[in-house]
Formats: sequence, C-alpha cells, structure tokens
Amino acid sequence: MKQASLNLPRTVGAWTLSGGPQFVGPQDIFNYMDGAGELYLGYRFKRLEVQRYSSGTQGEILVELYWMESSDDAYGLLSGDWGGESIDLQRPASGSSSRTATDGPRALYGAGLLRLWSDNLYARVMAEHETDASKAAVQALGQAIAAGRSTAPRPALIRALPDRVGSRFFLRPERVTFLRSHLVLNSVYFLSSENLLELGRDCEAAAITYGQGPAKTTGKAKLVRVLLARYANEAAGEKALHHFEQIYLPDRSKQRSASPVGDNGVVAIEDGWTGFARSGRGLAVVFESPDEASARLLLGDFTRIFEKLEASRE
Amino acid sequence: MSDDKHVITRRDFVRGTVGATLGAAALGDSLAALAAPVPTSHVVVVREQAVLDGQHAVNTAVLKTMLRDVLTNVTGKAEATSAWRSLVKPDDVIGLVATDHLNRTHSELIELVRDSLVASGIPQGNIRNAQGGPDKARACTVLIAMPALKAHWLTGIGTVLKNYITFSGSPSSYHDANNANLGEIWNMPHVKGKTKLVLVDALRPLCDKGPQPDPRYMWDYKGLIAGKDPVAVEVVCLRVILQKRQALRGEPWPLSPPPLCVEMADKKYGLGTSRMEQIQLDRIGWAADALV
Repeated sequence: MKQASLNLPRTVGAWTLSGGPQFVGPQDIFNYMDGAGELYLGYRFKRLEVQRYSSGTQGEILVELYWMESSDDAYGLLSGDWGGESIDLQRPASGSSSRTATDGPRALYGAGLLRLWSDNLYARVMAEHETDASKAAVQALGQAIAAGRSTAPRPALIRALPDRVGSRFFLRPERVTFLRSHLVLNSVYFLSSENLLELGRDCEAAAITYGQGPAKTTGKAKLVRVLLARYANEAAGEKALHHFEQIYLPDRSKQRSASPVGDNGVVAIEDGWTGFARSGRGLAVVFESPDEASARLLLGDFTRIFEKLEASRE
Repeated sequence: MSDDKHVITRRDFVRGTVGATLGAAALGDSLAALAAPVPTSHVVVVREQAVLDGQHAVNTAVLKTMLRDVLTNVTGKAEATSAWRSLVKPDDVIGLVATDHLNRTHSELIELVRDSLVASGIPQGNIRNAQGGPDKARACTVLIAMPALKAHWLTGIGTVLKNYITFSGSPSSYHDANNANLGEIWNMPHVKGKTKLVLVDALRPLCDKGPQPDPRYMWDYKGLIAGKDPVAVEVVCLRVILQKRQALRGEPWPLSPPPLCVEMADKKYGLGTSRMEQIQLDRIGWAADALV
C-alpha cells in the first residue's frame, strides 16, 4: 500500500483527515480532472496525491499535492496566476538557499484557495467554505506542506529577466509565466490554434509583459508581450522559428525562401511591431511593440540574456 | 475528426477575419457595439436571489420555480407539463446530459428536471443520465443538455458545446487545436437533432481557470440560461463570463484561448447563431448584476 509522501497533521482546527491519500498518475489524471490534466502534463507532472479533511459543519478542505519533475515545473504552475494574497509559509532552518526580496511570492491565497510552490511540489489547498477558521486551517496545512523542504530558486530564465529594458519598458511581474506547453502559452497569450513555436516538455519558456513606464503609472498604456524559449538544441530553435515565420509571418517566410534573411527581424503587422531573434538554442519573440526601435531594443536585451545563460551553463 | 486544417492565429482576430464573437472573446471588444439585425434565436435567463444561501446551498423550492419559468418561457406554454410535452413525447428515451465532473451541474437541478418530466407523463424508466460515451447518446431519442457554466483554460468556454465531448468517443482529440471543431460532435449521427433543450446551470459559475474550481473566480450568479439553439445559449453564457471578468478586473479581460468553437458551431456546423444581435434575450427575475 502506498504511503503519503508528506506527514500532514491528522487534525487542523476543526478539520480531521478523512481516509487515506488518493494517488493519481499521468495515465489516469484525466479520470481525476477531465479537461484540466493537460495543464499538469504540460509541466512534466509525475504524480498527484489527494487528501481530504472533513469537519462536522464547516465543509471539507481538499489538499492536492502535485509532484513535478523539477522545481521549475512547480514554479510554472504557480506562475499561471499571480493573483491573491502573498503568504509566507516558510519556517526557519530548512537548510536551503535563502530567499531574496525579488523572489516573488511562493504561496498565494484567495477566497479559500491556497496555491503554493515548494521545490518540486505544487500544492492546492482549498476550503469548501471560506471562514476565518478555514483560512487559518488552510494556511496551517500550507505551512505543514512547506515545512522542512528546500527553497529552490526560480527558473534561471525567469531570474535572468531584466526589471527594465532601456528607460521605457518595465517588467510586469504579475504577468510573468514560466511554461513549456503551447497550451499554457495560449491560456496566457493566445498565439495560434497550432503549436507554432514548437514548445514542449523539453523546452523552457517564459511569457512576459513589459509596460511602458513603472507598473503604477502604466494604467492603460499599451503593453508589449514577449515570449522567450530555450529549446533542447540549436536545431530545434531554428526549426521552431521557421515554423513560426511560415504561419505567423508568411510574407517574411516567402522572402526567406527567396533569399536568406537571417534569424532576426522586425515586421509591422496589424497590432504593432513583431520581432524575433534567435541566439543559439534561444528564441525571443516580441509582440505588439509600439515601434520598430523598441522591438529591436527588447530583442537585443533578450539575446544577451540567452548568451549569458549559455555562458553560465544554466 | 474533421480533416480540415485551418491554423487560426492571433492575427486573424486582429484583422477581423475571424468573426465578432471570437474577436470579442479574444480581444475584449464590446459585444454591444455590434450591429443589430433581426433576432433568430430565443434565450431565456432566469435568476432568483433566494436560490442560493450564504453557503451556496440550493433552495430547491425556488429552483423549481425557476425551472418552471425557464420551460414556459422557452416554449411559450403556460405550464411546465405542457412545456415538456411540446419538447418530448411520452415514448421518448430522454438523456439528461449534465456536467458530472469539475464544477458539476447541481444535483438538485438534475433531480428537479427528472421530477418535472415524470410529472409531465414521461415514465421514470425513460429518463436516464446520458453523460458518458457515444453509446449513452445512441440509446436516447432525446437529449437535454444541462452543463454548468464555466470558463475553460483549453477552450475558452467549457459549457454548452463542450458538454457533448464524450459523445465523440475521443474527448482528448478536441482539447488542442481541434477544440474549434467541438460543434461537429453535435452533428454526429447518434447526436444530431436529438437536443430539445439546452439548460445551463448558472447558479454558481466559474469565470477563469476552469474546469478546476478556483473560488476566486466563482460567484453566485443564481441563474439558469436556456434555449433551443445551443450556439445562442453559449453566446449568452459567454457574455456573462466576459462581463464578469471585466467587472473583476475593471477593464476588458478577454478569454484566452478564445472560444474558437462558438463561431465555428455557427458558420461551419450550422448549429445556431453566434451573433448576439440575432438573439432575443428574455430576462426574468432578479436583475442585479445580470451582466446581460
């Protein structure tokens, strides 16, 4: 009989652990969550453990522990939505790397649901009814889940993002998503019904947004969207760019067939300037840039990020 | 599955080559800004404030009244019994197709529909749960679509059209680029023409991150949305979801991915109208925060 991976408390507030854990693997995740399994599979999901806490009158608390292949995958799941109240679940002396102020939240709470990232674990703890008591219980369970676990760094690609590009473009941290799957990309920024950028489980990618001016002042200012992807190798990056150009920028693709035009370029399309630049196995694509110069400025910075990451072997 | 290979990109929406419904969902445009030809479909929205209590528990007496109002207004009949008799025959085998999984259709609504059918002269044994594989649909002569209202992270909206995905026999094949083709399931021989009523449980919808429940995006809308045209009902549902998202963010918050299936269900599969301005919308009951 399988044992629970974590030793969660038997009781928390008015809630008591009800039954043993339920285990869900990649093969049967659709039985557990039809229509949502692709999200977890897209992040290299290994297994899910489900525990339920019941109380006489205050509803159930559901604990879902998603064990992922790497910390990056678990971070990616949290990064799909930065909404909610940031909760510090860390207890001292976990023997791990220290957090910095720029790490961003590791646990977010809202309306009875706590979502947290702890090394290679992503967890959802959800109260059926939100009350002061259930909120305290949910957060206590979150602390129990995170206790003693190492504090892994954010994905290298995310850590490398500049807070500012030039004097004009400021990173919007609440719109930074680490991903591997085009389905996840489409859920944060719809690009195409097809996997144009050939993303997949062996890629690491970030969908990010820069605003013109600091976040508090941007208001309704036009946002620039960026997709950064690092492929398994240079050939995969080159193939992805070719596919992207062929479908998204067909005129440009025709030029390429006529005469080589290189692996970077900026094109004016319907919603602004779209630019792309490939560096080694890295590919940066800028969408909705207000002008050509801005697109080139952004692409220049992201190309340097790829070069630094390769040089540092991260 | 359809063999058609059409790659829809963001540029299609910006250009307007993919239509108004999808553009609004993808880019946050105002549906109200669209032109207004003659209505061709009828959708009813019935809401009652007392149908849910503070713990979201259902008041079945109130829900029963709402169901009656839905039936009489969709059919134009005076009573629920005559309404059902205009939709189904006593010897029909009636499949209730509810959302049986994440953010499921309220069991109280399913039971009330069942009771209401029996009260209208349909034998209990002729009413069954039809959610599941194609054989479930095949065994029925009539289907009543009873999905719960929710946004869906893979298909934009995961309510009416997606409700029959299991009838395809290969649900996962509609979760990727092919989600635009969800409408083709409604035209499969074992499904086509059987749906006599689309009755959406909008008591407590989910406007983002579906189908996994996220209480931050769930709210007590306390409504039922119904009609005979599945696409028109979906469009009204879509509008409720989009308006709620805009209310939460204070600015347009488009669905991503856009619900490609909605306009395709109209233009490609001919299941109904995807144009809001072609829908006659009747609003009954509680009016606050109706969103449509």
